[in-house]
Amino acid sequence: MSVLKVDYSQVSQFEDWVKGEYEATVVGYEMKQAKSGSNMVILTYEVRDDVPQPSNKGQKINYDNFVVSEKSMWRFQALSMAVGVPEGTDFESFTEWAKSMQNKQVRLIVGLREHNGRYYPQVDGFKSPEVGKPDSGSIDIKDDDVPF
Amino acid sequence: MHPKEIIASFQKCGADIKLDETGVTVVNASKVSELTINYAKEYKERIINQLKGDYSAKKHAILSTNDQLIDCFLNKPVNNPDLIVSFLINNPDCCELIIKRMNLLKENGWQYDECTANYENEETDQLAEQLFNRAMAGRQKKGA
Repeated sequence: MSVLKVDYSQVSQFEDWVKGEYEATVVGYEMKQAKSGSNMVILTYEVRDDVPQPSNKGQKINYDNFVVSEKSMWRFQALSMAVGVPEGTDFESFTEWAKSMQNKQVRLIVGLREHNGRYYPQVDGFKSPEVGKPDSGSIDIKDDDVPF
Repeated sequence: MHPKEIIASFQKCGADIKLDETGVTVVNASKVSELTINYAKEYKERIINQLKGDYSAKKHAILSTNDQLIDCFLNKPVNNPDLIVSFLINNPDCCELIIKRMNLLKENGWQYDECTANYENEETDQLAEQLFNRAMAGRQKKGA
């Protein structure tokens, strides 16, 4: 009985990351404490697979840390602006902020960091998305299409 | 509810429903309530079809119409109850078809308090389409 069927199409998951700008969606968050003791929001992004990208369509960019400290606050502001949170919006907690980022579209400026000889994506900055949202789930059924 | 809406509600919370080898899997399940997950489970087959691209607007129109007919039979709240009751009074043979469909769903394991989505098959789908067409014909006649 076969234990492995060679499938070349799966090789693409090891595609090298390329520096550049990626259209992405915020797809997850975690609240943790940094080594410094500061609270930290860790966001996960998914590179959209429905628009051209420098590399790695559909792959995740993990571990983007937003440390809650005075000198890192610019990252919270930058992402909020990029995803279109109205100026003056108040968040009661960083968890609330992280939740509100979920499913938002953003253009990530991605650099690379080296670790043990491999290169991983690192989010260096944020821009507003340059392409429209993917199919948001609108439903094309009119009242005339159903009897009741 | 349209499976697209269920998937979107998961995505709004930072979770997602994705196809896998066993059917579907929930990514970041901890971000949605157990109640929401149980609700989605009732619609699993329709969600799978949606993710595979096999759930057309027409299919949804047919199945949601039949959901309403069954809900009306079970005395659950429905949209436009007067229209449904009028359709049933004027089409007693359709009442028989609804009962036949409910019996088939029961044979497949359906319980009255849950959505029929996971118990539908080719036979129940054919009946659903027949009932939908009859109801649409009745509506068009009325509107003419």
